Amino acid sequence: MSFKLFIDCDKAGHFCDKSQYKESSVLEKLKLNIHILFCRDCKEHSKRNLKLTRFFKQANLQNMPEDKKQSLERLIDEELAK
Amino acid sequence: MPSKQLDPTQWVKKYSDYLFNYTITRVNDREVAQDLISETFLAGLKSMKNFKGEASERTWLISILKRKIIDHYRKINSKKGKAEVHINYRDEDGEGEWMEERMADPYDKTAEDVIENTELGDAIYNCLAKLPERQAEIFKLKTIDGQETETICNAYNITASNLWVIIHRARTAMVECMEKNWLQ
Repeated sequence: MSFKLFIDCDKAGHFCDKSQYKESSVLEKLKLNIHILFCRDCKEHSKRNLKLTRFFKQANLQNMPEDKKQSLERLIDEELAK
Repeated sequence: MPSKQLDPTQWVKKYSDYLFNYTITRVNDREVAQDLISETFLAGLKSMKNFKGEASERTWLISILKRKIIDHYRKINSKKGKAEVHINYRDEDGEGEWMEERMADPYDKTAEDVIENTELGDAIYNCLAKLPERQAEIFKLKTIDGQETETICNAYNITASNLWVIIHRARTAMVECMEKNWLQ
């Protein structure tokens, strides 16, 4: 593995996405932060990306549990079969 | 203009998360929310012939759900009325001004007002609805359910880098959509 501290915008974007899910490594975060120092576009993108994460956190969305979905599916199938 | 069609076999897949979230922010009870959505689907199935194809399927289902939520609050309200207790005067001079009359009745407003009020969650779901179906599914699993990358990759038979490309596209579209539809 080559050790490159400077990454391109695609990589930066990818690390930024990963860090929204707390899946980026320390090294990846470091690389992202260095990139952001020099790249205004990625800095802006990171900011907006983080904002989206905050929206999701704030909204505290809840998907319907899988078993409930299945029982609803059955309900609809039964009704349609009538 | 081609008129829009209903396809009940897709309802759960397409709308259950959206409807569930919509309901839960308004009734604040998972069981009640679940019941209301069941009722909505049943009512929808019964009145399918009344669907004129003017609104989208989703809008049509939401309009049924709104009525179910209002009915739910009406029911609570009528129960609440029976247990009404007049507590005290607000102050000495205000004879006849019951404290209760002075207070804003939470239920009185909730039904219609809250429904018209756009919630952050609704804005998010409106944006999610604009994503391609598969992209939205994967993005929701990752972002709302918080599922592991590996779990999703296995379920959809895709590689991790495929997944991140999908997530990236979804996030970019979501950011743009939210900036247009949610000012903050």
